Amino acid sequence: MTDIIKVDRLCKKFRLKKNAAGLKGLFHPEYKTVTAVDRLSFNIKEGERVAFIGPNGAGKSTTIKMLSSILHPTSGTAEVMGLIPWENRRRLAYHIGTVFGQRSQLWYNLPVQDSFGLIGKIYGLDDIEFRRRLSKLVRLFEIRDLLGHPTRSLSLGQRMRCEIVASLIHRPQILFLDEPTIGLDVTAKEIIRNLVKKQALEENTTLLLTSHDTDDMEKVCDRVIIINKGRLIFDDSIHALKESYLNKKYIEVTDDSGAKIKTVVDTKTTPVKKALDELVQKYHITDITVENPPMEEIIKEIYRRD
Amino acid sequence: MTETLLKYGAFFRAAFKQGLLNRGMLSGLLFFLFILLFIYNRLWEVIGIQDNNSSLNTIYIWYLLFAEMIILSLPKPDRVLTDDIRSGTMAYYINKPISFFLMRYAEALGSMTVSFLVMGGVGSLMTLSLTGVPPFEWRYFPLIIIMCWLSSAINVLFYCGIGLSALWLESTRTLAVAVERLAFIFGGAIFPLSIYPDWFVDIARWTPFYSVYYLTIKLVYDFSWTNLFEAAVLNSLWTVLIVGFVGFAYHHLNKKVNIYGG
Repeated sequence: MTDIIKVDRLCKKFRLKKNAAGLKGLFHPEYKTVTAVDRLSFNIKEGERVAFIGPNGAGKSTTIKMLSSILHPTSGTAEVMGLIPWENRRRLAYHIGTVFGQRSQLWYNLPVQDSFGLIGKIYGLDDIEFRRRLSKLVRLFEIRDLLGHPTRSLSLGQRMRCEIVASLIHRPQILFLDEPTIGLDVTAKEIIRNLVKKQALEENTTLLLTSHDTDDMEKVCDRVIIINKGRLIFDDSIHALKESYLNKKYIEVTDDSGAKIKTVVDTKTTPVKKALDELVQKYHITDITVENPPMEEIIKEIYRRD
Repeated sequence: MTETLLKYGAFFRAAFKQGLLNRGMLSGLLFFLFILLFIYNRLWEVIGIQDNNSSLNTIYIWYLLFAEMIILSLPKPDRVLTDDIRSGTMAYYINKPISFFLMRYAEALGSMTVSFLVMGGVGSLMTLSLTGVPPFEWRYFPLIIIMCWLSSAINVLFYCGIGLSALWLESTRTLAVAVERLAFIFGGAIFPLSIYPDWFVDIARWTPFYSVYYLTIKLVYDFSWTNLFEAAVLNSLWTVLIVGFVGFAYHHLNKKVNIYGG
């Protein structure tokens, strides 16, 4: 398989104005430079599903914006399908799809179906091709009942399904998903993850998904890239990450007196089931939460081992 | 070319359809238009009686109707574009095969056309019932309508340009309000400029409002091929100037977004 995305020492710095009080700030503004992405290099092969993980402010969205041709880098190079994104916007546009979890590409007041129609026109699809494609995506993402509703009336989970369909109408080979599960409840997150994976497998779409939720990468991707403060700190398979860093589960139980008991289980030595059985025997449990280690813990662990 | 027309035509149609569904807004516009026509009709009737000229209200109320069709049909594209620039929305369209500015312009034209046609249709019936038949020959009617629609399209472009000035200005709303007031005065939005003193008209001539509003609407009561030609030439010149500014601003905006993003 060929490399569909190539990133070489990509760097993005932002110049921000410092807010100085009084006239000094007006006549002699001071600036500080913030490095969002710092000499980032990686390659992605066709059909790979890659999670781009990191805490808030790690540079995930900035990298996606550069690769999807929204931003110009300060230095370094990148190629997406053999094209330099920021120099070949129009040509690249037909090959990539983007979903930004905190932005909508649907028209707020229009019924979802009309928004899809406009997107079809943007990409110059003819009516027959558009209808065939939409019909397939509507079935795959189970949104038939939503088509007649205006975007403003959709729940966040419903809207996100429609956003992903909107980004796939023109049959892109690469899909950039920036925090697609942000703000969603557990059920909606699960639905989105399953649908995204199903679509990617069915059409061999290359996925680059950013998130700070480790569950997103476990459920959808086969490879993970972790960045922190703009730098790459881990690039390997999900399996390798699980083996090395996701071998702990954080369990929190609440007993009938309302007290919360927290425990960390090393899944290499103790199966989660065994740990839960022990807790059930010991306490009158009213609630249980089992979570992966938070992103910050994983990053700390990576640095510690380095 | 056909694909481009289809692309932006789709945005025009979507906004047109959306505008038709916005019955509350259309009813409000028609109510306001009726009040305006009714009050000014009474005013011109009184002036006509004093001047012994019974056709004054017919001339000036039909003039007022076409003036209001241009002014009231404007859908405030300046606000939409200012919001898009301030919120960074524009940056997210940069990687789509479409001109963001033309997309917004096509949408604004669609919204404007709905209001323009509804006010033209219902407003004509109101004016007919208030003052009687219009002062122009019916055979010129299509030309007058087309000229007025084109003036409205220039007006929309002008306000889109104001929206783009959010790049440099803290508040584009202040500029839009100032322009509205100037258009009102120098464009003869309520009274034709022919009733103003000459020195005032000489000043108005140097503004785009003179041709975009007054010269175009004047065709309603003073249609001649010379007047039509004069309005068309001056409107074309102003369009070139506005397109030049908009092109410059949009290029600058793209460059800025290109570097700094959303």
